[in-house]
Amino acid sequence: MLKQMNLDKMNKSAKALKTVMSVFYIAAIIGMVISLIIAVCSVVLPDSYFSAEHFKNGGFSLDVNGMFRYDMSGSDLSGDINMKGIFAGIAFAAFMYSIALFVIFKELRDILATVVQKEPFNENNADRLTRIGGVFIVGSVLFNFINSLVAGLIISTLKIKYIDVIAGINISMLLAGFLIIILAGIFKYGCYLQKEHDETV
Amino acid sequence: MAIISRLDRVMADRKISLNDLSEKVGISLANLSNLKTGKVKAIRFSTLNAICRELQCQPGDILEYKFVEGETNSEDEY
Repeated sequence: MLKQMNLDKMNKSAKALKTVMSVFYIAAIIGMVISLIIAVCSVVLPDSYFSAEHFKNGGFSLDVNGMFRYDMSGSDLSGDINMKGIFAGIAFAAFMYSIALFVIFKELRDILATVVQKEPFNENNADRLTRIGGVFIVGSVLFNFINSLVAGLIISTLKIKYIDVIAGINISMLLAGFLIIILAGIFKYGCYLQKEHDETV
Repeated sequence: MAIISRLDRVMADRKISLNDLSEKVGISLANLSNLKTGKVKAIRFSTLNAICRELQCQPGDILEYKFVEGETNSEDEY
C-alpha cells in the first residue's frame, strides 16, 4: 500500500531548505568578494607586509591539502621568506571555490523555489541539475589541481624539505557529478510525464 | 490531431454554460475550456463519463474523428 505523501510537510521542508540555500548563496558571494580583495591586496601591497616574521606569533598555521598542518609559531623561518605568493594562491583557491559554491547554491535555491510553488517537474530544473553535475565533474579535476598548486606554493615558499605534492582526480566528486547528470535526465523524463498529465483532463 | 471536440455543439443544444458544466462535472473551467477548444492531449474515462452523464449524450456526440492526410503515429516521433 502506497504511503500518502504529506505535501504540507514537504512544502515546509522545501521552504526551510530554500532559506538555508539562500544564506549559503549570499555567503558564497561574500566569499568571492573577500577572496578577490585578498588577492588584490597580495598583489598591490609591498612585500614587507608578507614577511614570515609577522606570522611566527599568534598561532598562525597553514593547512597543507587538508592532510597536515604547518604551525608557523615556533618555526625557525627567516624573515627573508615572503608569504605573498601563498596568500595570493590561497585567495585564488578561495575565489574558485566560491564561484563553484555560488553556482551550486543558486541552482539549488531556484530548484527549491519551484518545489515550494509545487511545480518541481519543469525543464529548467533539469538544466539546473545538469549545471550542478557539470560543476562537480569539472571540480573533480580543477579543485584537486588548485589544492595541489597551493600546497606546492606553501612547500616551496617555506622550503619544507623531503615533501612533494601529488595531484589527481577526486573520484567521489566525479562520480557524484555523473550521478547528478543521470538524475537530470530522469528529471527531464519527469517533465515530459508532468506535461502529459497536465494536458489530460 | 484528428480528434475534434463537438462539446460546444452539445452544450449549445442542452443550453448549459461552461461554468455550470465544469461545476457539475468537477473539473476546472480552464480544463473544460481546453477540452472544448481541442487543446488537450487526452481525456480520462471518468471525465468522459461525467460529461456524458451531465449532457445526457454519447461519447461519439462530443468526439469526432476526421481523417487527416499525412498524419503520422505520434509514437513514431519518439
